[in-house]
Amino acid sequence: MKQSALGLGLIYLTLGAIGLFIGLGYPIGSVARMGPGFLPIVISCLLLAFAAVSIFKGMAAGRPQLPSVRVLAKGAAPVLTVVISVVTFAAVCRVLGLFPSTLLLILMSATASPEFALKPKALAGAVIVSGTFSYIFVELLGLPLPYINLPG
Amino acid sequence: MYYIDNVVLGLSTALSLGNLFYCFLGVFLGTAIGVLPGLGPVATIAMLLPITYGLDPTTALIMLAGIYYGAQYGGSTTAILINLPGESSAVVATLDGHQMARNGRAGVALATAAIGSFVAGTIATCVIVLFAPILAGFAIQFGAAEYFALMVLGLIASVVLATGSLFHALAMILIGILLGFVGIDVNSGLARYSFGSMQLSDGIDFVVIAMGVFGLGEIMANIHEQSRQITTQKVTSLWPTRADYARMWKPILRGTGIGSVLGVLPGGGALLSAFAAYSIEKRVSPNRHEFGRGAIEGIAAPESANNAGAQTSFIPMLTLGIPSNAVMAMMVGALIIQGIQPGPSVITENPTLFWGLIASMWIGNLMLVVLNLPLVGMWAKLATIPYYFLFPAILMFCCVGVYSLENNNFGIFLMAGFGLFGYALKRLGAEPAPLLLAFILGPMLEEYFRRALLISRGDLSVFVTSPISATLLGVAAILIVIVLLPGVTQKREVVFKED
Repeated sequence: MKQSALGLGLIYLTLGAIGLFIGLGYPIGSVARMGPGFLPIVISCLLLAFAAVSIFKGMAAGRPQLPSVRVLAKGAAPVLTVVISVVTFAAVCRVLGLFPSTLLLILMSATASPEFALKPKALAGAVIVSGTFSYIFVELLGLPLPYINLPG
Repeated sequence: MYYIDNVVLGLSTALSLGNLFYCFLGVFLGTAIGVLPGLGPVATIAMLLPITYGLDPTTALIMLAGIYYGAQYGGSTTAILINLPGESSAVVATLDGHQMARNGRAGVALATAAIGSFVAGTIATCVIVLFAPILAGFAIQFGAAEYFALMVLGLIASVVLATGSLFHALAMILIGILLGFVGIDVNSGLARYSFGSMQLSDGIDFVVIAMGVFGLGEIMANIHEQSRQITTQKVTSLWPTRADYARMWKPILRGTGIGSVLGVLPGGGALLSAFAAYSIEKRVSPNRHEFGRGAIEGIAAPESANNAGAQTSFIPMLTLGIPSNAVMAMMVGALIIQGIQPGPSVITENPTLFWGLIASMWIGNLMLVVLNLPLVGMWAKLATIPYYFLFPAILMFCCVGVYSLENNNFGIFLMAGFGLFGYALKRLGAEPAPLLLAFILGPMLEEYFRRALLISRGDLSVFVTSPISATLLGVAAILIVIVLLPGVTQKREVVFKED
């Protein structure tokens, strides 16, 4: 896989900066009696050093290696679909119950595939899979979620 | 007597009806999921881990180990039959194994893989029985400084031997350690990096990271792939001829030897073992001209090696508490959840767990052979399930699995975030396995570091005045220097890109 030193460097920079910024708020202590802030600050600084080297490497490699906007947009849609369907599941699983939530998760996430098509057979499959799966987890394994919880 | 008593203890534990059942379940589920493309052993174990929480520690570990070598074996089956490696260490099996299948010898290739794996598993189990207690006895004298040094060596060695850029792997280690800081600091009671959230002050569950980065991240990266037209090779005769046996026994033993040694090394394990065994076999075999065109040696050696490596990688995990790769890191996490502190004391304080697990490895290997050869047709069918049916089901398992950790939906949100993070790392070309390893080792690393310096009153030389610690850190430094040598850098790239 092609490596983007610049992109990775920016990730290191972000995480290192957050780590250092928050870490500075904790008591540092001394080497003999380390406070909770000591190692987080050390590790964050090391990560920032890696960020600097990585960004420098990326810049030195010439043309910016970040993927183009077009590539990003093409890749973003399915990725966001997956994230949104997972987040939706988390948000509704207690309210609706496990069966409707897993069904929703399956149907929503399936749209991320370039081969998605709403066929009756696939739909029936989704209902059967999520129904059985939820039944096993709620009724047999005792997962503390309602099986189905329709409003009204 | 020591060994006989313990082997008897192990066998009586592993052969109890419950443990046999969970060993079988683990091997079966592991193979089934290992057959599916795009789900490696790490994600598989993360997905199935919540199921084992209710079991007692020995049974849980027996099942997890079964999942691991089941996944390993399942990966090779599909590599041979449909040229689709179920996981990374099975890539080698596509080379000659699939060629054999195309020459109409799929059955023989599968049988060779099974026989090789079984022989290797048997020998590697003996290696564990002989060497693990010795290593544990040695490690029991370790103090805080030695443990710190050992963990540093483990982390460094694991990235030196693994694929990809050393620089970015080291950065992944730092990120992993940083993530490990999240939660309450045991010494001061301060909740670090919790952003005021109650849930975060308990720390991040490693299952959330593993499922997010390896499960979700993988799905996001794979979703674009169009489902491939897959042609399954027919399986005819399973039995190798006498000539086949004559050609395979030496490669099996060589592969077992290579795998047993490489598995113990941090960063070793199945993947490295399989690659090394294949390239060595290619050099020493009298039939080397047949390699790549369906040589039976080309399947016997790497399949034995990857199974041997998978087994012996348990040695450092069980005796030192140091995971040598991401799968073993998951095992350490599982032990901690069960309330067992991994390390040299496991063997004395939990002998049933230790010896029972080892005995179950051998039984599990036997089950693999018995289970897999008759079921080959079913596994091949399973592997042809298109990805667009598969990934929503994987998502469902991940979500419900994470919910069940704390009976809380917070972890699912977190997992979604880690999924995005893992996807970004993949797209930018970084390998996230060291991150998981460092995340699990991080808190222990910090604890030992602070304790060592507390005892030495802040004198940093404690890490070099103890001979054991100095040696371990010295080896870590030498490893880094070796990798940075220009000649080695090129070789590393060749080794991992060869196929």
